[in-house]
Amino acid sequence: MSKHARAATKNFLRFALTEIDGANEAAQAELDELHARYVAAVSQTLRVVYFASDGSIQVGERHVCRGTSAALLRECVRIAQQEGRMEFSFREFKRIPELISHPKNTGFETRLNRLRAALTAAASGLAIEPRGRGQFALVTDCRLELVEPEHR
Amino acid sequence: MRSSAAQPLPIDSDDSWALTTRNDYVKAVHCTLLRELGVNGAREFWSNNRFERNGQALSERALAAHIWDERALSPTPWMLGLVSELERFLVDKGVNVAAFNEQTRPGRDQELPALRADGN
Repeated sequence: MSKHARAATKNFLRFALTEIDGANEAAQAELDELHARYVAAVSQTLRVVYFASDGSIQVGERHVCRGTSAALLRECVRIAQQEGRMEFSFREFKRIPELISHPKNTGFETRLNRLRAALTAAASGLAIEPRGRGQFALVTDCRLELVEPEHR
Repeated sequence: MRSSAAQPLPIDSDDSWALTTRNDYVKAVHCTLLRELGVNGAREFWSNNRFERNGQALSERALAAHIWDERALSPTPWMLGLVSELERFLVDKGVNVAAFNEQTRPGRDQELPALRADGN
């Protein structure tokens, strides 16, 4: 609940505050949309291509890795593209059966470290950085685009 | 899309005594530029007022993320430079400077709307 909405519950000017609140929300939505268009205009697009046929992944025309690490990167980029979220927790990936070998001994950190090293070696403009305990982030100056070519 | 890149530090790493100011005003300027001049107008302004850190200009995308975070800090000299540059830019674009400044006045969105001339 916004501060105007909270104030409106006990303020005799609630009719005016409600009106301001509605106007503010509409204005904020318009600004968010304008800023999103601005960010899109100033961002280069980095294509991430996942090849399901051999489980490998490319970032900006550079091969990065294959196997589970590639699937992990694909999932990160999918979330970034669809939800606009670039920070992730280990736990959310440990719940995905395709990314872990065993629920008790996932080996997730090892695969994440491999992926991190592979991205650094590929120098493709995409990196993984730790973000506190049990969390990491994708870091790039570009807008990410996930491409998954059809099987042949 | 949000960028998770670490928000740029407001100051050069070797200048820990630099004056800094919150980004509220910078964000208000950005929003009003977007409203008045659109994406291209805002882009033109910010590309002429790049933010440098440790001798390197931030990318346009990183600058956009920095500006949008009103709680982030920017060097005060850079912000003062913006103020003087802004007026010249607005005059060049034929924008009413006084009306623009009114839009970026702090706390403007917390005020009650002015009564209409007819008193309703």
